[in-house]
Amino acid sequence: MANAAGQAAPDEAEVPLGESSGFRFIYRFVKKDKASLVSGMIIGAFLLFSIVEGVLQQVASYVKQPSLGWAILPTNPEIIDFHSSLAAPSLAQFPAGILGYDYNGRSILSEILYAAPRDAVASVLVVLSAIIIGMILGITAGYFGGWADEILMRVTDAFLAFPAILLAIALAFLLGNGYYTVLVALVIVWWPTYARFFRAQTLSLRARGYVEASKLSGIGSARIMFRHIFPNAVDPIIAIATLDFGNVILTYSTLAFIGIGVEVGIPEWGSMTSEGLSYLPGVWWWALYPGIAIMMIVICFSIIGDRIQDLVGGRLTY
Amino acid sequence: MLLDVKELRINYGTVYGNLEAVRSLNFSVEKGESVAIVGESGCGKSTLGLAIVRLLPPNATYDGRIVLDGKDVLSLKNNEVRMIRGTDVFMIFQDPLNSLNPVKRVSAQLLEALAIKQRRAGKSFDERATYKDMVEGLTSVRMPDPEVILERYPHQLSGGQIQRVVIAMALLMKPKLLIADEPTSAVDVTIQAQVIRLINELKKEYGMSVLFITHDMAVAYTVADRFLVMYAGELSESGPVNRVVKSPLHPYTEALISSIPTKSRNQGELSTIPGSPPNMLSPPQGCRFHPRCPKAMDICKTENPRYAQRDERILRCHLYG
Repeated sequence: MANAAGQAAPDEAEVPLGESSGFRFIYRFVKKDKASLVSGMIIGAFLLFSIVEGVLQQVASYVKQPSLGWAILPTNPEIIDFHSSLAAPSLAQFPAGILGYDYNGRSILSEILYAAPRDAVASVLVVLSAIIIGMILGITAGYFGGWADEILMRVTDAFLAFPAILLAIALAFLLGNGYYTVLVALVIVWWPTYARFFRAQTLSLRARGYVEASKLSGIGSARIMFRHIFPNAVDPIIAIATLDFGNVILTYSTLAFIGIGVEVGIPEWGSMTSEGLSYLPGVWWWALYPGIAIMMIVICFSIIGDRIQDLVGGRLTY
Repeated sequence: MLLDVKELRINYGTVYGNLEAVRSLNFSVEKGESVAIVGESGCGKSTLGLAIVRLLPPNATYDGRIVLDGKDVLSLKNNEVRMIRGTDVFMIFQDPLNSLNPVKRVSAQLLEALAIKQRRAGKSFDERATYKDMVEGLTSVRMPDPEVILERYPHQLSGGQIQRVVIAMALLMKPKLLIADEPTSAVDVTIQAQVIRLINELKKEYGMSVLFITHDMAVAYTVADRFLVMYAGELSESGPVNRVVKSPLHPYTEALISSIPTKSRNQGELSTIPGSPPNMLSPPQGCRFHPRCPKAMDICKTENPRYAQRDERILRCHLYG
């Protein structure tokens, strides 16, 4: 590519080819926009910590060494220690006590950190599954049109009508109350939106010259749909997906708040908020800090999603 | 005979009613022959091209026959049509700038089409040999640094470069029939001349038939063996280029040819055809050209002229029976 850069026209020389322009662009953008820098760092830290902590928790349950699960946390988040029951936040007990203790004497900070991987996994898993299901159904419906479109979109409409919370409650009865039940329920309510986005994108893309040109070269439908239309359709959907990472965490916490998907003894941001609720306003820290954690992650995701939406240009409608 | 079109009729269903874009059209293209379809904008030229590759929009209905190399294109099943596209017939679209996928490198797009061609020929796909072919193809369209161009994305190319990539693709596909829908309208005059020369070379070298759709009489004159003049979806006159240009018989052809700007006529006003093409939703009765025709007779207003043969050409005009 050195050859290419050397022979580029003068106006092209400003923007170097290849990946470097992408990273350089992000660098320049973030330098100007501090909000996206801060949210990016918070999200990055959240995801990175979730990966480390999540792997530790999995390994811990695999080798049956529960203490490994809180090896990098200040204290054991499942301990019961009434000496520190409802102790107020104080900097003297750094780091375990800076956010205070709950009724069982567990450090709020440890509990929040311990619960982080579950929220991260929920958001990533739900959004990615929704995108994959929505992509397959939406692009198929949009590309073929006619009765295929009619059938797929009526099915999508039917699923779009499900309220997330009621569906999760119903599934919790059917499949048993647990983390994965909630994930299944979230995927079921999340994919129809993506199917509609992908369909709308496909409708506008399928009439483009290069789609006609691919047909003209004798390229098959499946290849046109997923190798030509999908890469062109996905840009604005990335922005929506980023917003949705936050929305999934919010909905997941809402469900935890009313007790759906909560497993006894395992801390969860939403359930901590609801447990701490009855101790308000005296023991404000129990409900407040997990709530702040939820809010912070959701706001950061929506700031980033919003910026991406501005960058890829144009808002999506369906 | 490579392409034989018989009694072709194409209608578009629109919200304003039925639009008859092509009406009872008959013509044929021999192997190695190039035919220019000329006419004003909106006379059904592009619709005809799209019908031959079966890429008409969904609101189009058609009857008649288009026989391409022994296959009746209009009655083929969808997957059978796919098998003739690319190798039997290839089309350069009117807007070449849109013919390349913006998120894929030029090489990937050429490779994809060529892989299909090779698989159909029963050969195994040899990526290195194909790459060499692509470089050669781009070189033959006078593209400087073909290796560099291949690794670029379409937005990094200029209009003329994209145009040449698309033509190189047509060249590499070596179809039996190449339909070129105004391939020179998006490029400047110097590249226009190159493109025309290229298409002519291809024709000679591979015995490719070319259907050249254009509204530019001068361009048509330099590429075609035969003219097919269309007006409002109907054939007006068709015949060998030299005969048609030297002694046009149909008043519409005559008007078209006298409106070609030439060096000898650079004084005085450019001659034009009065009026504009009819609204195709409600075309005039009788001969569709009669409201603009200087030689219109009474019969032209009521009766649709029949096909007549005269002086090596086929005509539809009441002046010639």
